[in-house]
Amino acid sequence: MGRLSGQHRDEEDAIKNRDDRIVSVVSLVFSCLVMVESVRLKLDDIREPGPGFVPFFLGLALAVLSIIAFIFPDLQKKAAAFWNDWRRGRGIIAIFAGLVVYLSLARILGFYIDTFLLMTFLLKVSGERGYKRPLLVALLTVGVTYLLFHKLLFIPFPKGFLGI
Amino acid sequence: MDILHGILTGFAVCLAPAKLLACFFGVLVGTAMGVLPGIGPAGAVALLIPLTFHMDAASAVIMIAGIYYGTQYGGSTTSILVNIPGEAASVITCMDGYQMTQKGRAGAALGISAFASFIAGTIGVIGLMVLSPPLAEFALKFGPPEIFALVFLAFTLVAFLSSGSMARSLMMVVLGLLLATVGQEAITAIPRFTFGSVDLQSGLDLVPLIMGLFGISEVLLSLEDLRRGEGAVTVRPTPRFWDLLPDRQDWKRSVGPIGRGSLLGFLIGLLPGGTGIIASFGSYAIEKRMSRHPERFGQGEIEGVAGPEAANNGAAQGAFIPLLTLGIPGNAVMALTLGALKIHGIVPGPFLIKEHPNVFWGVVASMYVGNVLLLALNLPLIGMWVRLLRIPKSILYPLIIFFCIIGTYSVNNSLFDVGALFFFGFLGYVLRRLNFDLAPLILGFILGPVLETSARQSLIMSGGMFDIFYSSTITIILLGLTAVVLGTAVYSEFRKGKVSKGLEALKREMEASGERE
Repeated sequence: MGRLSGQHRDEEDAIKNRDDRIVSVVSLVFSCLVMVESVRLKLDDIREPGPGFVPFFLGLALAVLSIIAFIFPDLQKKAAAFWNDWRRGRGIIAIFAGLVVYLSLARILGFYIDTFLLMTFLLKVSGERGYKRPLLVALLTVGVTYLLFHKLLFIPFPKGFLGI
Repeated sequence: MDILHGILTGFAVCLAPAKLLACFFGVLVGTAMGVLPGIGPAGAVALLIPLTFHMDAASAVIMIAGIYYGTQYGGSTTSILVNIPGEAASVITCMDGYQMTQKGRAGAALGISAFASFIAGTIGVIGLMVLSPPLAEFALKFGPPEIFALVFLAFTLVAFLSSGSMARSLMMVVLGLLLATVGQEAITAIPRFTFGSVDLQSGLDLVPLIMGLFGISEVLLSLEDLRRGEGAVTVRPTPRFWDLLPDRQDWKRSVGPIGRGSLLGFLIGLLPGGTGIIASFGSYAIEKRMSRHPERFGQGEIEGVAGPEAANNGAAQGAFIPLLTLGIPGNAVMALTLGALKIHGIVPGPFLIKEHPNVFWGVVASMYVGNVLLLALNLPLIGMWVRLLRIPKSILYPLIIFFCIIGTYSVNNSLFDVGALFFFGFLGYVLRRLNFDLAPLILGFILGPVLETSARQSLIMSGGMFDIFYSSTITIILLGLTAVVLGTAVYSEFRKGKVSKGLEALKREMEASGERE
């Protein structure tokens, strides 16, 4: 029993190590890109540092920290197993895709119609059954936004092809 | 005499009907936002900042302050009654607060939480009153090297106090600093990391960053639980008003924790990066260590509610001092307050008290008024706050996403900011799933421009000589403290055996990959 739980812990540590190392490598690559771009921006002289000076040293610091995190993974943290458990995030990807579509349609459909559709989508994805309540909530959200933010606070929202 | 005159002026300012209304609105809406999970104090302030554009500077800061401590209070209410912390600083209150509710002592827990917040708020206001004028005088001695050393200490402290390893926290600080470099550079106006985008020329905005990293990511994580059938809320009957008054025994046990928590919270709030979360966790640890029955903590000890609640509110008051005296925002809410003040043409710093006494003293006095309002308003309204949680989560979460969208859009009327909100929401979700602490990233982003400007100004002043960073007593003390914090962190990592464990794991993996080849 003890040996089994020990083995299980070793497996968990290995997963956490791997997660940390993937993050460290991504972060190291990112830091190298930052340093390259910083050199392009010009580091200039230390007596009069250029616009790339601080970003270069930040990139360097990130590279060093990535290497430290690669060598010494954080075994104290709660099991993350992010890459092993990617299926858990499938619904989240759908929501994120919905948000991206919302953003790209804002100028075409106009803010109010686009927001009405987004709210209906989010309410359905969040587990609302039927259409009566989601449509009502979406309509109320748009109505209150119009009154509060447009009429009261004079915030201009993007208008679509229908002029609203 | 100056202080007395100042505070009387402050009361005259904040008791004017418009200011009183701003304060009332701030605490009321702040409490409601604090009750709802996912928005948090920074998100609540960001959401309501457009309202302050139509106010004068004093009313704007008074309302923001009201929202700030209103959210802290609202977060505690739901922690105690339904085991859901409305905001991160109230997480620790769940431990004993909810246990007290389960034992039928919800009234006492809510009551002591409200009174502890009130007392800590009062002590914080006195501290703010007494310490701000001399600190503002002292702040005049701060040049670029001193500011650089202070910001450097803040980063080290926040990384040290964060959860997880220090290297990971420092990675988040650096990422925040790098995000802050996006846009036109302050001295030469050369665009950096903009990739030709006009929208990025003015840099990334704080509001989408905060709302994305905290608000959207929180909702995404909660939706994961909801989709798996977890996260259902059981709302118990709320206590009656008279049940909220703690009895003599409760008071006797809570006096010490409230006093210690208030002081600790206030001192932590003074530090850049010192947040309510650190204060409340610190206070809980102290109370547990000082208790004769530490084993009872987590089972409904009133000390576990009184101390952290006081510390949480004390930190909220203390956080105003670095902003108002040094012009350095110590956390996200203070950064937003700084932004709101700048919109009204006011730059916080050592000269604020002299140049804008109405704003400074008005804000200080409003904090006291706000604390009284919180107590008078919230105890009778507890039932109403809890009813907010009865809104089905399948409706609540989409609404929170919408609040984040509208809050972000309305600051600059920019769809680009909404895109940035979604990007940071997804980034925050991934980072939180990977157990990264996001508070250091936010602090890095907020203080990034301060660090860069002070570092470059210092080097220009000294003609490229690094000895400018250890040429004054202030910088020596600040950098010495930084070295102590770093040394302590490295020592504790060695002591825990993490370093040797990490090296062993790496060696094993390299051997294994060698064998495979």
